[in-house]
Parts: sequence; structure tokens; C-alpha cells
Amino acid sequence: MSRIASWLEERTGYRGVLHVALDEPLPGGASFAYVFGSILVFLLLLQFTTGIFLAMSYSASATDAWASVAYIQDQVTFGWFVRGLHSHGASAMVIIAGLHLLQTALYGAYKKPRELNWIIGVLMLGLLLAFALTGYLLPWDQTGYWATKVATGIAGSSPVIGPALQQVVQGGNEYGNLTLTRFFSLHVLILPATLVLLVTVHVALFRKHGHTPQWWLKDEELARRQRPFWPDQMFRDMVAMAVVFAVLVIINLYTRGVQLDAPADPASAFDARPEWYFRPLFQALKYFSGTMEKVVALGTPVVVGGILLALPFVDRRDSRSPGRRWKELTAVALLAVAAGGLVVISFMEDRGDDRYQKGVKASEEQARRARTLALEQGVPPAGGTSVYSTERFARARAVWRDDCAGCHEGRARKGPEIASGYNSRDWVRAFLQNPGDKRFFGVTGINEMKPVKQTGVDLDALVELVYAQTGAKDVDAVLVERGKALFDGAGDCSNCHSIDGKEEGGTGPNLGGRGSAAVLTEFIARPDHPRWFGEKSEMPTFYNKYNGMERREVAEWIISLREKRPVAARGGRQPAR
Amino acid sequence: MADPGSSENRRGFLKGATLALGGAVGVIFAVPLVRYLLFPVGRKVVSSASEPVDVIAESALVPGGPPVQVAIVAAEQRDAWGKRDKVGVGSAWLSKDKSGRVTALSAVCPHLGCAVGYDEGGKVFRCPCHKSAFNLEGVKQAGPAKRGMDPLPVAVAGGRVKVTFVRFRPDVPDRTPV
Repeated sequence: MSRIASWLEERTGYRGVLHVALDEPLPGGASFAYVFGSILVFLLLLQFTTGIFLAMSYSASATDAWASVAYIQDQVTFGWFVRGLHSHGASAMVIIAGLHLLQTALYGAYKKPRELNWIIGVLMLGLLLAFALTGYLLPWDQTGYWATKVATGIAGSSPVIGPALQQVVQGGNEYGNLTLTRFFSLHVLILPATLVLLVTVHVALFRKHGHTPQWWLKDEELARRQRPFWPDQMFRDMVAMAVVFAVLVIINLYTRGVQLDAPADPASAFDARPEWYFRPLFQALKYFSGTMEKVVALGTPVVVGGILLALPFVDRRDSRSPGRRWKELTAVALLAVAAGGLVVISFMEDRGDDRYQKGVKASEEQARRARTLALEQGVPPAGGTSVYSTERFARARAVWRDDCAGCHEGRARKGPEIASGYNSRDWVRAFLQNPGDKRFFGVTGINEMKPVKQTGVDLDALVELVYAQTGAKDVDAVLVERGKALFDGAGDCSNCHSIDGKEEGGTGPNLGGRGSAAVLTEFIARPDHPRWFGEKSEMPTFYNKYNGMERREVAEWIISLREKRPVAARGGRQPAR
Repeated sequence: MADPGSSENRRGFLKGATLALGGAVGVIFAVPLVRYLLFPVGRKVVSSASEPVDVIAESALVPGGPPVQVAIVAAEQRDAWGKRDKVGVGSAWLSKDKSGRVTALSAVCPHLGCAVGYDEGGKVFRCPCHKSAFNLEGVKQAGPAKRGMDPLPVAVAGGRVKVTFVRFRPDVPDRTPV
């Protein structure tokens, strides 16, 4: 071990580096007051690591972003954990950066010769917020999409450069693929590179000027209490890091990571909230409207940033005693209290807002639905909201399984078979030629209709007439006219059937609108209506079991079967899925 | 906190405790990350229906004629988060012998997975990458491949040829599906 160490030492001189890094003398000794900077470095590494892992499974495109994050959230092992840690870690960084700022302000660390480092610190705080803002959009979910729309909207309302600025940031006139690729590039390349640069300078300057010790100790006392960084301060730093990490992990486990909302839907009306650290501005904007709103939206960050940046130049006295600079410290404290107060008020308002709370419930339900579908079905190439299309007729299928399949599907049927191709021209033709077949009314007690005698074009015409009742779009009008003539004439249909949809039928059901969504919806409710089968009906009524919307969905689903090609007749059964 | 009389013992303890704490944080953090990293191992992240795929009309194949390359397009493919319809998953060489029997050979070279082509003049299949050659039955004639071309399940029904695409482990003598 020691031989390897000396081999390395000869070639790298690492011991000197370690000595410089670790044995830095701390006048006044170690203190828990100094841990915040180290915690921030730790959190930065945490964010870089979790971020790199998230990027392994993330796709920055408007069609794939939500789907890939849903994949991370619900399928990748510990994906939810890594994502949750990244999101909660961002919150932790904002909190610790705030505490770091307050601690250095209290200790007067912004004073000569450390002004520049204070300024770099304030700039890095701005970078953190830029990280948060760009990261919030990346999942392309409802919250991220709508909240970020507000942010880029604010940027767009800047004087003179606003529209251009907005288009640069969002990559064009509207949100889309370029918005995501730009935000992604900012979030994972430009901002991290800038931050690393600033952190390097920040730490280098910190080491150049040393830490800012307790203001209440005299120089001799500071010298007497002096300790090296390692291990006295490092131990405290490590304890603090471990505590922060433990708290993060516990919160992350407790919250099961961070919510992923339903995919972004520009056509929806979504009441979005920004991340909590943007709530002060969000809340403040509620109190203004019109031009003032814009002034506040754009002015607040400038004013707050300006106050912080100006601090070292306003307070130029030598003394670091808080008593001597209570005005400046009060200003900083007021900013912190105002920000904190607005956050609290904002959350309180939301809590008392029933409509908003209802919206939150609904959006959680929507998210659950979308993610369940993404998990079970996968997301189609159209991406995001197209995941709902995989769920078409979910309710209808459930109703079908419960109350329809028993009689209309399989060998033990008690009613006509309803399967792929139902009510298609082929189906109608087969029915007209042999209504008593087992596929049709042969399995029921209503088996009175005789086969249609017509053949050739006449049969085609009758088929087309019945087919036209479904409301299908590809109807041959000439054939239908011919069919109508036959219906009343040589076809002998009108002896038993009406086809106007109004009159109560004769011995047979009224065929008007037969197989259309409207008529099917009504028929399912009351097949025993005199308009259809009357007292002969063997089918239960469903008007008091399923509401109109459910019956309508079943009707639409049955109509959708028409376009499906029947699977080979083997077994005569088409599974209703 | 900064006790000036601290002993070497105390410093030793602080050093040990610092390293232990750091190590604990690192290990706890590493577990989910490693699990995350290993997620795709042994998992069918990309999967398509393994049903036979309709590729061509049987009449398009000439008995004893040259082999015909067909694309095998799966009805549906799941690729991580995505679901796509009609995705090309591979291709096959179809031949019909004089007796009318149809055979299918995977166009994936059993050596390292390049796409095997057909040499009209030499009446052999040739891999463009490493010069493996196979006769019309797929038996290896030359080159580094460790086995012949991989036959695929093929069925003829209703005048249509249907092929099931299977991917095998490359560069081993035996055929094991992956």
C-alpha cells in the first residue's frame, strides 16, 4: 500500500495537493455554521449523478418525453427513486443555498476583499433557479408544460427584446420539439458547464481569502482556536451532508418520489402551479394586473438580484458586527421573510380553494389513468396524449363482459352473434339470406323472418338500404333508392317492417337508423319498445342499469366492430376484448 | 467546539467517523443507481409479437428458382416506452425447391450479425462483412461463421407465405434464441 502510495507520489505529487486541500487552517476553529457550502457541493454531485442516470432513459422530444419519463417512473428499477431524489434534491439546493446566503450575510462574508465571491454566489443562485425552471418542463407533463408557459410568457413580455427572447428560449413560435431540445441542452449542458465554472472560481476565491470567522472573537482568540480543515471541519461537513442525504431519502421514500402528471395537453385547461420556490413571484403576481403585472413580474427578479448584488458596495464599513449593519441585514432578512411569507400564503390559498383542490384530484386521476395505460399498452408514436387512444371503449368493454357477452358471444349464445364485421355489408347480406341461421335469430325464440328471395343487384340494393341505416359514410345512394322501392314493393319487407324510425313497427322491428349510434343507444335501453321487438323481446332492458353515456359508448364500440375484418370462422367466435 | 486540548485520539476518531459516514452515504446512494443501471439486463425491452408474419404470395416463388429476400414486418413492437405498428424486425431469404417446399433462412449472418446477400453468379449466399459464404440450403461453405445460416419457421397457408422471425446468438456453433 505504502509502496503504491510513494510510487504515485513520485509521479503526481498528490500529497502536496492533499495537504493544500485538507490542511487549510481555520482561524477560530471548526463550526457547524460553515457547513452549507460543503452541503451544496455534495448536493451538486448528487444532482449531477441522478441527472446523468435520468438522461440514460430520457428522450427530449415532444412525442417521447412524457412517455420516457413515465417509463423511468413506473418501469425502470428504482427509476422513481432516482427521479424523486433529483427533484427533491433541487428543492434542497434552493433551501441550502438560501441558508448559505443568510449565513455569509450574517458573518459579513461579502465585505472586502470577498465582494466578488458574494457576487458569484448570487449569480449561482440565479443559475439554480434557471436549472429548476428548465428541468420542470422536461417531463412534458401537464404541470411542467403549463407552468413553464407562464414563465416563457413573462420573458416574452420584456420590453423591446421580449418576443425575440421568448422565441430563442422556446425555439420558435410555439412549444414543440425545439422547446424541449433547447431546454434539455440548457439543463444538461449549458447550465452545468456554467455552474461548474462559477463553483470553481467561487471555491478558489474562498480558498484565497479563507473563511470568514466569528466576528465576536478577537484576533488572538481566533489564532488560539485555529484548527485545520481536516478532520475537524470535514467531520462537521460530513455529518451535515449525511443528515441532508438521510432527510432527502426519507422524504423521497415517504412521497414515493415526485409526481408525474398526465402528458401535456395544449387543448386542456390546466390550472398549473410552479415549483414552490417560484411561488413568491407567482403569488405576488396575483395582486397586480395589466401593465403593473408585467412590471412586477419582470422587475421583482431584477430588484431582488440588484439588492443582493449591491450589498457589498452599500455596506463598506470594516466592522462585521451585525449590530453595526442592522439596516443591511434587515433588508436581506425582509427579503427572506417576504419570500417565505408569500410561499405560505400561496399554499394556504390553494388549500382553501375547493375548486383548485377538485382540479388537483382530477389531474391525479388523469395521471394515474395515463400512466397505467403507458405501463400496460406502451405509448403510440404520436406520443403523450395518444396514450389515451389505447384505452378506447374501456368502459364499453367492461359493460360488454358483464352483461352482453353471455348472450351475444360464444357457442352458448341466446341472441344474434355480435363480433367483428357486425352490421357490415357482408353481415347484412348473410343475415338477409338466412335470418334463421344460428349466427342470427336461430338461437332465439324470435325466428319468424323468411329469407329474402332477391338476388343479384336487387339483393345488393336491399343490403345497401339496411347498411345505410347504420349511418355509414360509404353508402351508394342510387342502390339505396332502388332498395327503398324493393322494400315497399317486390321485397315484401314493409309487411312486417317500417323503416322511418318513428312509427311503431309492425310485427318486426322498425329498421330506421338500425345500427346507428343513436338508435343502438336507445335500443340497448329498451329493446322491448314497441318500435323494436315489443313483447317478443328476449333481451333485458338496460335503461336503469347503464346511463346514456355508457350505453352510447357500448353503441360506438359495436359500431367500431363493423370495420374490423372477422377472424377466420373457426369456432365462430370473435373474442371481445 | 474547538477544544484546543484535543488529542491525537480525538482527531483519529473524527477522521474515522468522517470516512465511515461518507462511505455509508456512498453505499446507500449506489444501491439504487446500480439497480437502475442494470434494469435492461435480461429484460425484453424491445419486443414484438412472435406470431408468423405474412411476407409474400407463394406464387411469387419459382420452384428451383433463385432465393427471394423478404422483409419481416411485425404487426406491433414495444420499444421501451413506445408502441409502434408495422415495424420491420429483420429479413429472410425464401426459396422454393423443385418439389414446391418453401424454406426460409434468416438474413442475419450467424457470424457477427451483418446482412447476408445473395451472389447470383456463384449461386451462394455471401456475407459482405467477413466473407462467410453459404450454399442455397444455408450450409457454410467458407469464412469465419461457426454455423450455417439460421432457418426460420415458415408456413404456407391460403397461398400466402408466413415466416416467424427469430434472432439467434451470433458466433457460437449452436443456435440459441436471444
